[in-house]
Amino acid sequence: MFKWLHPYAKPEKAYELSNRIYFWVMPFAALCLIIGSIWGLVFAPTDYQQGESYRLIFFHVPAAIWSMGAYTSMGIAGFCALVWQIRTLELAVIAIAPIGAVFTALALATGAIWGKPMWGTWWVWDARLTSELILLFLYIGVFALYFSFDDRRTGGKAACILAVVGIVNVPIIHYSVEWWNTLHQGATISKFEKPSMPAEMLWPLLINILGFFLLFTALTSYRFATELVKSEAHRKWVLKLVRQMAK
Amino acid sequence: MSYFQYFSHSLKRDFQVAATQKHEFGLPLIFFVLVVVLVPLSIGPEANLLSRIAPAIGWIAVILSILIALPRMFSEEFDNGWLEQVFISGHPSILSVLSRVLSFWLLYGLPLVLASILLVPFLQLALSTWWVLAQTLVLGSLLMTALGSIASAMLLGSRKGSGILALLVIPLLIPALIFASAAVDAAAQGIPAQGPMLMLTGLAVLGITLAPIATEHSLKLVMS
Repeated sequence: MFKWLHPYAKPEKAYELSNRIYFWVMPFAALCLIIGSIWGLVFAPTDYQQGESYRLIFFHVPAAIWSMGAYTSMGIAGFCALVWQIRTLELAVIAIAPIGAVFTALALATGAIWGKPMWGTWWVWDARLTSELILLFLYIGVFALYFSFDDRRTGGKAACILAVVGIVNVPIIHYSVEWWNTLHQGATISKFEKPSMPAEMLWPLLINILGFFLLFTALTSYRFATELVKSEAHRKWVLKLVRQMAK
Repeated sequence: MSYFQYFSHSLKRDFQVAATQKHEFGLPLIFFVLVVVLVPLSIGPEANLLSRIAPAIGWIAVILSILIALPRMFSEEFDNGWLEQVFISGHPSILSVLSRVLSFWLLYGLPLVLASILLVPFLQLALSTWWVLAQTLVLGSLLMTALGSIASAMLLGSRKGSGILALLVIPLLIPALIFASAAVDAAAQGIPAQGPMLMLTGLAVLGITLAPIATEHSLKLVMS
């Protein structure tokens, strides 16, 4: 069934593919983010309750969603790397980690800025906030663990194990607003029922969520390609690549 | 040899080795006492305030003390080749890992839990609250040992051990800490603490069941 996937286990092919993904996806990501942000920040109506400051939602929610999405994909990549011993997937784990960390930090920062006018405080030890902070530490842990070994291969596998172990945190973040009745508000976008926001606010948000996803995809492929070249620096195909670029 | 026999042999061996190096076990305990002593010195000897923060201090001191002991969980066995023997012996190595986790908890975790009774005289903690605190610490230190075993195994081959160990273990412990503090708070106010206690038990059981698998994997990785 997945025969078409097999050639991409080869670093050379994977490099080509991820470069192509970056090349094609990045413009769409930029387009979505520009449209979504301008629509959200300028044209979307003012909220009757929160005034103008609700507009942070257009960055806060996508960053928060994809901070979890990135961790999940990192965990899956780590699991597959451990089970099927695919070395390129270890590089994928390490390619995702800093991007996810930045998304998490962005979600925390925008949340704090939003929290100040709405809740009257920058930070509370609420379940959602705390578990998101743990997520940030997990990302940093994966990254730090990778670089704490002299042997990249060992470091990569250790990072994979941590990525898999840490995935228990993702459902905790997701359900934290339902399990603990604390300060953070419930889900903004409901999946199956009618959305609780008016369409003029919902559309730019959805576009930005898509934009963040595309940005994540593009940046991951870019970092992945870089990691591939770094780890395969002694191989023939990299030398060929370098010569081509030099011309 | 049946699995149970092998397990109890491993456990017995851990204790025999431990009996030859008794000086090692005092260290985390002394550290625990020092942390507890530092608190009234730094915050002032105000009885109400001290008894209010005593459970938190107890938990934090236990976490730090276990973190001090954790790098020692597998390091000696790794250095003298015992671990390698375990993995090529043909016996299920997960049993050895499990026995090491258990013996580590009995040797380092349990004494710390018992030492937390020092909070009663030092920080004016109520005895009934201490009883709940000790229960949460039993479960919490089990979870800490289980999760810490993964990190400890992982960092055997690494250059910079303990700093990263804290970074890996503490984030995973925060949920347990939240439930423990909820339980102790409830006990201090005289409300039944069963709900958070059960959650904590669930976490501890989950940790002890699943963490040794990851630990075994990390050990294999370090030795390959």
